[in-house]
Amino acid sequence: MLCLTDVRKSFGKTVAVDGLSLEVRRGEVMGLLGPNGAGKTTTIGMAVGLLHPDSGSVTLGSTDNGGAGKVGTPADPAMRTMVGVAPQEVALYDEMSARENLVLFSRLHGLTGAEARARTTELLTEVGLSDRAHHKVHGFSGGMKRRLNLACALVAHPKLVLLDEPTAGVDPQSRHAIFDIVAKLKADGVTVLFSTHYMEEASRLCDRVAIVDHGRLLALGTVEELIEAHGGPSIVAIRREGEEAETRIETSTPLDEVSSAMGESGASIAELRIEKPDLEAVFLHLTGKEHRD
Amino acid sequence: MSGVRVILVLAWKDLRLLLRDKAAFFFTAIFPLVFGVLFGAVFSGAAGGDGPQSLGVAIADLDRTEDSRALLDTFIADSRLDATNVIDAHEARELVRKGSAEAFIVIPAGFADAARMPFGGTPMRLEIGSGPSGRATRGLLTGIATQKLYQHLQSGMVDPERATDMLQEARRAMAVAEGVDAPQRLALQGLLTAAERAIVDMPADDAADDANAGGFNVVTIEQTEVTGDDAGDTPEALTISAFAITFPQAILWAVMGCAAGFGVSLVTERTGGTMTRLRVAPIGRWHIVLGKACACLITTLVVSSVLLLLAWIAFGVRPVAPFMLVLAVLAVALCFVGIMMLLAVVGTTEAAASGIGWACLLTLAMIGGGAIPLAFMPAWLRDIGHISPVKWGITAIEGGLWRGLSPAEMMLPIGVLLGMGTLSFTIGAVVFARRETR
Ligand SMILES: Nc1ncnc2c1ncn2[C@@H]1O[C@H](COP(=O)(O)OP(=O)(O)O)[C@@H](O)[C@H]1O
Ligand SMILES: [Mg+2]
Repeated sequence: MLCLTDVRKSFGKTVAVDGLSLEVRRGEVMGLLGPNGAGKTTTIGMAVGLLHPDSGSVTLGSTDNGGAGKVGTPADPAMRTMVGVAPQEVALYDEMSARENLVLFSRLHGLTGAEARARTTELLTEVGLSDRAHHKVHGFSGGMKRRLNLACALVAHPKLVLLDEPTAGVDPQSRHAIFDIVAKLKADGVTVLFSTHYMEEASRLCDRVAIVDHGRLLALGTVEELIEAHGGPSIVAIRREGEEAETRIETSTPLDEVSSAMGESGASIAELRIEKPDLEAVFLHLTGKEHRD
Repeated sequence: MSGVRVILVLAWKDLRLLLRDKAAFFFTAIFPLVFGVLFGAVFSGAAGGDGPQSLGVAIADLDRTEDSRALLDTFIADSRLDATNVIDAHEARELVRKGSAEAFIVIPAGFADAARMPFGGTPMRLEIGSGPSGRATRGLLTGIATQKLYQHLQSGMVDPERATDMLQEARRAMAVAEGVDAPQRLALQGLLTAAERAIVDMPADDAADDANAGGFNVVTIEQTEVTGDDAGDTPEALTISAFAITFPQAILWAVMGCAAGFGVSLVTERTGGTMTRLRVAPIGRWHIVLGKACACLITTLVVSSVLLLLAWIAFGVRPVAPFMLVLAVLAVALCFVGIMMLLAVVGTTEAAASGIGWACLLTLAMIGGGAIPLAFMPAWLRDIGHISPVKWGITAIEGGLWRGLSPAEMMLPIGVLLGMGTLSFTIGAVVFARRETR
């Protein structure tokens, strides 16, 4: 659906994306996970034609299992009709109402006036802004703006949706509303690529996760695969009766470790825990622990 | 969706945003209106004011005698005037009509004869004309001309030979005059004899006043108003005419407001992120530019039309060449759409774009006669004004509104406007496209 092949992009001396190759398959939800400055926004920018890669190629569309069959670059407006984008910075006309924004972008995506109005009503309900439809955007909270920003990406029923940090700086309610929308897109068979640095949302929503840093792809796979490959050992933590401190055992086979511990001194165990590595462990393992901003 | 529809959708969005942006709306609609009405009223009322520092006058000497030449020289020497000697009355009128001169003076044939026979019954005649705004100008010029005529008369009289000639001619004229009875004749003879003795010592400054006070009508100055259709100058036409000057200026202010407003709004699209959305929409980049240009064009045309209609309905400024006026307004609008595009790329933040934009526009307005009419400016400043689209815009609109310039004469201002517009638009669009392609 989206194929980046060895793309590079520099801004002056800063290399933002450094030979990245990535394929987002039709119908999958892929998370683009990386610390600040990793090159996520630049990657998405190139994917939709906002930025020209210095080298490498970007292809939109797919020919696999009976897909639409159209393939092209994002520079072609016709190819962009099937793409919806929610930029990282909220991009809305502040002096226009939620409804007017949606109608405008619907029209620009080729909907007729009537279609645009119908679709707008639908989307306003979907993102929970129906009661604020006629309010100007500049009075909206961060979460409301984010939801509207997302809705604007969906006006033309896109086949591919790119969301750049869709949940940055929003309250938990809005965040869950946004999760629900992504889940619904997935259920509808829409291909989604979204960037984030929240592990939770990546592991909850994504079929596959791409971890990037310094403009390079560090790892790609399902959450399980990534943990398997990069999560490091599990930890079995045991505290025996009468002991203050717990014993921590690093192991790749935690169950074996547990059964042997039970066999040894089953009666005296006060507490037993298995700490499995998670996506965060993978992330920190791959990208290091130093600060990025 | 077709390209035109995309452009109209974008333009409609911009028009709506304009109506909601109080500052932009003020500069495109309210301020120009206030300018046109207020200054129109001020200039109308200031007919007796100080007038210009140096008035551009075209002088045609049809008499071509020593006397007329001498009078001409005194006009040329007068520091209050910036006099140009022209061949005939037609050329003089043309210069005024095209705005190269503010007023004209025609010294008609037969001037010398009248000058040599001040009491011979034929008064010295001068014709003075100016544009419809020129009531004050004509008043001023009439004053200056009257003074010069009497000085001329007096210079003749202080020349003993000519003074004697004059008086002898007067006697001869009286001798043959019909309908003059004996007592009258005697009285006049006495007067002339007294004049022969006294006139030589007449102090120069009193000459004009005394002559005016007396019953003799030795000087006639005819005033004409130069308009496109050379219609007569009714008193009404004179009292409204200042609006014919201030409304073209007002249109230029409105158009500048549009250019600045929409130029900055293009910057706002970039800083506010909406440009990103427009760019990822399935539309071409030139749609975005043309959408903005279209909104700017529509706004300038609407505001200009409203101002012109108001000038006509409320202040009686009736266009003398409506078709030319339409062309002029269109050219001005297109020119400033180009300038809008240039303003859109002069700064990368709204504050910078707006600040730099208005600084440039205000300068162009000042040197182009947008604030102070060109006529009231020093010559060197008027020359610099050629680089200002405001000057060409005012010239073009005045050309259709009251100067009644012919299509050939309109070619220059309209051509310059379109040229400047095209150049600005091209530069702006190229820079814009380059910035958006990274
Ligand atoms: N327009 C730009 N001009 C200069 N540098 C940029 C620009 N956009 C991004 N960068 C730099 O490129 C790198 C990657 O940025 P970005 O793609 O925004 O990262 P992310 O979205 O992952 O935080 C950063 O070092 C950033 O400073
Ligand atoms: Mg980013």
